[in-house]
Amino acid sequence: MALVLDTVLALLLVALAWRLLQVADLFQAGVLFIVFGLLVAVVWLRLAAPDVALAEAALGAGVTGALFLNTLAGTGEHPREAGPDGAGGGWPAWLVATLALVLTAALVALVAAQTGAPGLPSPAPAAGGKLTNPVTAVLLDFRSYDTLLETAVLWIALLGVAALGGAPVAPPEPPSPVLVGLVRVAVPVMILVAGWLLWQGATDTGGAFQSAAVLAAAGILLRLAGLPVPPVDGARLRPRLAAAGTAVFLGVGVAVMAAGGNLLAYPEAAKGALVLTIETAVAVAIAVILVALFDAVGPGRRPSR
Amino acid sequence: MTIEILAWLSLLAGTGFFAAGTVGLLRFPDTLTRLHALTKADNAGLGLVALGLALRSGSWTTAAFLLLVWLLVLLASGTLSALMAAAVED
Repeated sequence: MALVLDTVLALLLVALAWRLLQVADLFQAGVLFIVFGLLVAVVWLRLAAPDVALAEAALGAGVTGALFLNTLAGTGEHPREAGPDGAGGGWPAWLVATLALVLTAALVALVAAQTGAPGLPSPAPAAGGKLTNPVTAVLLDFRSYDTLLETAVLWIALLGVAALGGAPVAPPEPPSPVLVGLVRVAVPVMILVAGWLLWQGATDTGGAFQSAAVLAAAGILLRLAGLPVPPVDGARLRPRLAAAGTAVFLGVGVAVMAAGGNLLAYPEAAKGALVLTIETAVAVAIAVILVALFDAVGPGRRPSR
Repeated sequence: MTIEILAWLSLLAGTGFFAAGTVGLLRFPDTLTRLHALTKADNAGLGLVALGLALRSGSWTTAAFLLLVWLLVLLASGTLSALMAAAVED
């Protein structure tokens, strides 16, 4: 029985992937991508990986699908080529290029000079602190260096999008009262679920990424209903929150060095609290980044201020 | 034993609703009638499946979670149907 189910799932996945690549209509492709992501989530569940399934369903199918469809909706309003304004000004190109090259070389030298992998002193991931969820232990403790860089990648992606130009602000369409009604009920529940996922991530299925996906989905729903999203709307608050994930992660990582450890090698006694601090900052930052990306690619439903 | 039989009856009825809803989705002529077919699967079908699973779980916590999931899906699918119907009307 299980074999039949798994075979059907696997075949369906391949068929969907093929159809997704073949279909000419981009809207259909976006919808197929969401269906594909949901099926992949079911496959992860069958492989007994609920953490990955949750992340795939929320991030892979939900938020990414919304990003795709919103991008499609926004393509009509974005100029095909960047205009002459915005570019130029500031520093000359050769200076920027030289700076980038020097920085890259310095980074490469720094990485090459690292003899041991930092942040990997404990061979047993589930050994210390209160982290009994092996996935969280690997992400935030055992391989925390990777996760730190992942949060940085997301932040840099947002910087790149922001550098391409701000979101076009279209006059908000009057949202359907039915949607507004749903959002008013659903968003508080989603914030609660996000907090719960964050908290129970230490011991059970959940964690910063899943929590961030649910928060981001709540933010996107607020956007669609034409309601404000306070952490993302503030022109000063948004970049700070977006950078906070990487900053807090790095700050804690460096702070434990002052206590005599390696980079990101948390002391056993404070491990639970430190990881929760990092996860909270990372979850909020990723959620803000995802909503900001949604704003940047779409037709722009930011409520007028 | 009685609970087990009730649970299976509920699960079977639920999958029946899902099957009927899918047939309706495939066979009905236009968007509004297709939405009509889908809501039966989402509302009654999922409710019966959740009820069956809650009976089989033997745990009040699991049953409460299933109820919550069903209520959230009810809310979402109802909203979605309304939005799609409104989009068709335009």
